[in-house]
Amino acid sequence: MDDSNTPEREIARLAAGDMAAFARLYDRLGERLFAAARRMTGSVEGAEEAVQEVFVALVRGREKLATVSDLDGYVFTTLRHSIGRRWRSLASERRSLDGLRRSIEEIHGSEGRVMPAPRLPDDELAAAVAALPNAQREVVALRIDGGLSFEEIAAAIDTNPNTAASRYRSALEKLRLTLGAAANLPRHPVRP
Amino acid sequence: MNRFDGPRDDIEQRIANDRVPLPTSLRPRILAAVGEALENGPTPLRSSPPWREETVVLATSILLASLAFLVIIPSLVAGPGSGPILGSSESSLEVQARRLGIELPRATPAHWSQETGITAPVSFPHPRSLTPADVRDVLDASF
Repeated sequence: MDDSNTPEREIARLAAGDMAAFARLYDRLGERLFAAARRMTGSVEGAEEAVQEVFVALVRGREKLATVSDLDGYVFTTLRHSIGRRWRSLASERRSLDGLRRSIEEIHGSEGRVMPAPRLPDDELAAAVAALPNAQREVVALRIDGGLSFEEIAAAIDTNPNTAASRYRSALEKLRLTLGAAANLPRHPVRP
Repeated sequence: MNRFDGPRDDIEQRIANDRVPLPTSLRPRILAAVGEALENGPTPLRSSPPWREETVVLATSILLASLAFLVIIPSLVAGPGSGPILGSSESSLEVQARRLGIELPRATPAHWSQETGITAPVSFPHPRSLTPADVRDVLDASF
């Protein structure tokens, strides 16, 4: 029996630093990783960087891969950590920028504002997803874009499957409310 | 394993439809990054989290600074036997007497002080056993 293509053998090749194995991993998971990363970060550029970070992290820590049993879950967990670091970094930058903007406004008044207001996505769905708490947005991304089970999601975000499923349902309910309310609003301002 | 096997309602459908094609430029970019990382070798596994050593150094510094602030600096500033010793129930007079080898009577410092009228630190000329009355005599002779 040929067992050269079993997940265990593939993980062993990755752990050994086999370049072709990393290429196969990208071909198999790249699209799902990119989709989940775009949902979580809200941007194509952010998703590209996050996926690249995942693969570089996998290579650098490849010795740990030898102990991994669920490769897909491990890769998505790495993605989640990468984006989590990005969120924390962005939050820190945003606080710094807010402080800078306030200082400028105190000195020059509101006309001295040089920082552009954050640009909201035009798409209603993207805006509604972006408005979700990070913990809910990542569950939606891992479930629908990543195609993971609640057990795998729970392992990735370090919780239990019931909590993961509950966050997912809450997120969908919020999206339903937000998008339903948006659908009832006039798309163009009513002229008096 | 209950993996996502397709949208079941309008919201899931809408999210699933909101896809951006995987950029074709991403694959060569990532494989180049993988190749570069492979050339650099794996990151060695650390036996302890990176924050541990820094935390130990910081905690030790805080402990030493606290010790200096609470014990060493006050004793240097105040001088020997000039006040109560931190963490000790002995009065300055008791400390002074113990240093000189004088055995004080079995009484509470407050009672002993009240009996002798001594509140300031004193030096005794000879180490020997004294009663409160003897101490008074020694002090009268000293002044």
